Amino acid sequence: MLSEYDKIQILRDKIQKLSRSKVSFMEVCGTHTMSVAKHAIKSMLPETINIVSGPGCPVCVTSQTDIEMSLILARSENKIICTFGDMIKVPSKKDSLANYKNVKIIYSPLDALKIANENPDREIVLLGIGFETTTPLIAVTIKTAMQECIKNFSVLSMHKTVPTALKLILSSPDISLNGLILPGHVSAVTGRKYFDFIKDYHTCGVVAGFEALDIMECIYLLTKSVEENKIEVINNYTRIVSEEGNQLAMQLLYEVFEDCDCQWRGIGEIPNSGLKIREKFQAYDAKIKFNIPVMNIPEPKNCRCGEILMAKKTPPDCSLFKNTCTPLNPIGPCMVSSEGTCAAYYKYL
Amino acid sequence: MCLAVPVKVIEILNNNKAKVAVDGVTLEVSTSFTPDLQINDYVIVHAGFVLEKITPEDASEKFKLWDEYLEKTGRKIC
Repeated sequence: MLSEYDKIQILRDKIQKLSRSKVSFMEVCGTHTMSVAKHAIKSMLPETINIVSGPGCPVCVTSQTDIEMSLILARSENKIICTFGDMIKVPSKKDSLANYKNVKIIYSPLDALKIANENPDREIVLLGIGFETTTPLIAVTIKTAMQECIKNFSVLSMHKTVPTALKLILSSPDISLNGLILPGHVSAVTGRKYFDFIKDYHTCGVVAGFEALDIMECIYLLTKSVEENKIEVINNYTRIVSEEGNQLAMQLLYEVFEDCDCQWRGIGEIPNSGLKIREKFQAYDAKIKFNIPVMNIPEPKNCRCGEILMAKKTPPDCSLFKNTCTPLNPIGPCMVSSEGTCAAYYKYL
Repeated sequence: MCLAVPVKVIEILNNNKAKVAVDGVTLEVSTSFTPDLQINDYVIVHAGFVLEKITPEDASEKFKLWDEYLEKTGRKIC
């Protein structure tokens, strides 16, 4: 029986043989970015195939204004801020959540409710970041808080949806993409069909898993589609992803959240690309509960994270990369997040 | 951030919860998105929530990779 290693070698040779035209494929998900770098996938591909990173790392696309809002909440001592670990070191005006002892890293959003029950005299704020994979979890947490009458809990929603940002990238005249490596675990919730819209932009897509073999298979399928002039969206992660996804999770998401305009780092405002808490659940909306002032905080000077997220630049094009911006002293979120493109380049390339 | 891990369901609990296990480590997870789970089902878990059921064959592929990793790095999980 062939080992994973043998299969990768075979795919590498097949891709080399098949590839004729110059193409660019985008890894949409941050976990794919890390996997591509970690397994040195680019070194196995012919010069004709260019792999670029996309906007799928939730921390990286969080706007400076949202980061500052999180810090405003953290500075108030009667609050406990619950967050996934990725957000903790993102800097804003030389400050970060790591500087506050009332910030707790959680594994599951439901942990925030336990903390709320254990600390009835304090306000618990959960930082809601993530795409379609994570937002249904936050929706269930809000619903549970309502059912259990937990009043000292709220969510600062910075959630986003993947399709709107992809549509913007695919319609941008200065970015030319032939195929997308589609996010495996977002697709587990949304289903494969959710991404059929990319065909309207004459772009192929393959839903992919996260092992080296998954990614090589995906690049092979994308190359095959391009060379055969086919525009299709293939599911190559069938062990987890179905056509329709988890409909129950999507229903729960839209029961609690609704679409809203949203600021993306480096990209700017994209209409209907964010998710805000519906009026029925407003008591759990931290922005309303604490009346946080909405400011417009500029991004750090010379930071190129925005252009890197749009695949217009790579980390070495940024004058800060490896100079003043390193994993120990990150300036932009693409270096802070363990799944950011700059962190991947720094660590592996 | 969208990592998901394959685990086995070992107990169905009340209030949309289940107990899952991998390599002797047990964890209580939410089954809000997969209400029809049964004991011995294999599932993938993201941030304390079951996202989907998977087949035992797919799960065992994943576990084999873990075993290979543990063997090569000389680590052991009891």
